Amino acid sequence: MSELWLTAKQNHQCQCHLCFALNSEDEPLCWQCGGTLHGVATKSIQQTLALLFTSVLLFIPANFLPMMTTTYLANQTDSTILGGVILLWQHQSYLVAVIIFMASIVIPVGKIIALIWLCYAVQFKQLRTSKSGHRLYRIIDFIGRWSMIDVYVVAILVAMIQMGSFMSIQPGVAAIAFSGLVITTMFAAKTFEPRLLWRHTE
Amino acid sequence: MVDSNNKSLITDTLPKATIAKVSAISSVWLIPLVALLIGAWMMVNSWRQQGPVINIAFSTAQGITVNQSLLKLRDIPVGKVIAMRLNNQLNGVILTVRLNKNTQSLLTTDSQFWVVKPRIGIGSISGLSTLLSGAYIELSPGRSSEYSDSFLGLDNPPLTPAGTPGLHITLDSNSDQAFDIGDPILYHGSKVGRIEYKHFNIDDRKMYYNAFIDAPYDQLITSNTRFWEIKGIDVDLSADGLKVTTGTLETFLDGGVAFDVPNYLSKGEQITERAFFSIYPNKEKVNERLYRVAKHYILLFKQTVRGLKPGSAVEFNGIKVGKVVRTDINYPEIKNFMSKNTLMPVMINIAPGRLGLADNEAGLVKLQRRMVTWVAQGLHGTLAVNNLLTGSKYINLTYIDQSSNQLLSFGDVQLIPTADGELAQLLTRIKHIVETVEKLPINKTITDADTSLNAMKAAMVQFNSASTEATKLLQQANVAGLINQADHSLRHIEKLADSYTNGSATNQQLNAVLQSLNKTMHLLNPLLIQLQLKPNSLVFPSHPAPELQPKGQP
Repeated sequence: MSELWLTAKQNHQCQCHLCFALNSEDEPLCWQCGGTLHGVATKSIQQTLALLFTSVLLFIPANFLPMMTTTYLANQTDSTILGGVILLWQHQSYLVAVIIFMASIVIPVGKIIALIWLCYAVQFKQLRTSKSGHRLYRIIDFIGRWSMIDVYVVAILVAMIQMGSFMSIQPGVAAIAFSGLVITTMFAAKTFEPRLLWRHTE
Repeated sequence: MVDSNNKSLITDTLPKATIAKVSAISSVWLIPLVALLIGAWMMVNSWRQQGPVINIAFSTAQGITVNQSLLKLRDIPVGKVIAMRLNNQLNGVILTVRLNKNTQSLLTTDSQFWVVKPRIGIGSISGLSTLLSGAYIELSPGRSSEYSDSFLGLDNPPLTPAGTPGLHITLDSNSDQAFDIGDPILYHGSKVGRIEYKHFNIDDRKMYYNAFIDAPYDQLITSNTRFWEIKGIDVDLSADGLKVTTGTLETFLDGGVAFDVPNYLSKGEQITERAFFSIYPNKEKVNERLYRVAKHYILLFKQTVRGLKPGSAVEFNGIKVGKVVRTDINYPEIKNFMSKNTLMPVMINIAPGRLGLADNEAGLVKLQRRMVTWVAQGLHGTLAVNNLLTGSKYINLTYIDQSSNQLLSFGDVQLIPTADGELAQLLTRIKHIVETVEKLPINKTITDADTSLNAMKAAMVQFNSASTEATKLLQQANVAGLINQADHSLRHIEKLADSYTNGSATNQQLNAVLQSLNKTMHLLNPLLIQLQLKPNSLVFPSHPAPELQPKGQP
């Protein structure tokens, strides 16, 4: 495969990020648009790891602090993400419970684990082919935004159910932590340089 | 492809790039650092916000939910139940409550905790809001300054939160009526306090009640204050008629305690510390003057003492001087009860204070000394009926002129001699009269009267014969002689009348005198008329009065 396909790096060339023109590897500026040229981001993995670490930190408050506070007839109930899922399961709303469980727990956790594995694989050249890594990366990139479903649910409920002391819902601290978690994982996915996957299959 | 010449040209013409040393660590690491710092700050903050953890023991955890039930002070949440478990004896629960920061000052040894839940009593309904919100624990901070972290929760909310201005008092009662926690204390019908706690003392066989009087009514409690029971309905059937007394609706259902200063006492000093008072059975008992010392006497009655009971009055001429203490027969001196001549002992006490003597030992000695004199002068106790309807009796002390008595004693108590009661005395008198009448010599009197009548009969016979003789004498008298003399006298009168008839000399003279008298009267006539009109005209000159003319005002 490597005989048929050459990477730009192998040809001592690099692509401008702005106008996609091919430049020599040694050029500091793009010959076409004058943009600053740089090769594969050297700190990409470091940035991804830093953001992943942030998301892991945010995962703790997002799951242990109340996601939302329901006041029903002057009776306050705090519900965490997992608590809500369990409650829904007990109320036999299995589909909603599974969706929320997937969106709020499985996807963020899976994303973090997958990205960490990708970083590890890139660093220690564990990938045999770049294809599987690419597919994983695409899935992570696509599915990441769906984690926000839980935040949307809370946002919609808070906006709709405001009936004074009869029934009202207030967002909890975990909502902020959780949205922070989703955002940092999305940034982590963005900062991950997929080109590194090629490099290590060279 | 760019050739090398060109390349070198460009490189020569372009400014040389300054090669900065690229740091090995990305600035993105700031983000987790910030997150870590925020997390650390939150942890530290929440740790700093946490107040003390306390344990409260309750008999039951009804309505309490872990992590949800709050601890409130005046409806402000100050803590939350974080755990609950059974105690070691399994007869109660221990709730662990975490309080907010800076609440140490609320946790003193005398702080009170109770669960607020819906309660319905006769007087009030409380805690309705907890029907929806669920029960919570209410805290009432104490006054003590000693810190404590384990408390005994109250089963019922304290009726008076700690620190409420007012006065705590202790009342004792051994009457049949019991009071409940929350029963009102009334002053002239207004609720000024309530019973907070009751405790039965086995040793004293008495019920003790802790009551609280709200400020400013606590100023009404003075050293001479007396408390009495208020019953729902008080029915008094007496000779005066049927008297029904009811209190307020609350006391009607529950009863209560009223207080006042008896009308014969001064107010006394105001009470500021916890004081002890007794509850009297009714208001009459309160207004009855209390005496510190009294002397016991025994009266032995021949007749029934039914209707006499402890508390019955002992009066002297209508004034109460003492009361009956005992009417039973449990004296060692009573040996042969129910024998024919059994005397019923009644113990009374006479307070020297009631007799105007000093209410102390000196007065007691004086009373004892005087009693000897009084009994010697004939003081007796008699049973008198107080109320014919109920048959209640009282003891009347009165002087009876009998042979003077000595103060005997019955055991170690002195005896006051007794006499029959009024009714018995009346019966005795009637009996006496009947006996006297019976003793009268009526037969002899009748015999005497018979002989008198016989004598009278003889006298009448004699009178009859006397009158017959008188008739005979009159018949024998000369009637003809008397008639002749009368005829002679009448003839003389006839002659005298003839000399006055018309034409006689006497008659003419009489006429002339009468005519001259008539003329004189004619002459006197005008004078007589004037005298008649104006009797003073002989003394005062007669001027005609000036005639009054009608005039206008000038």
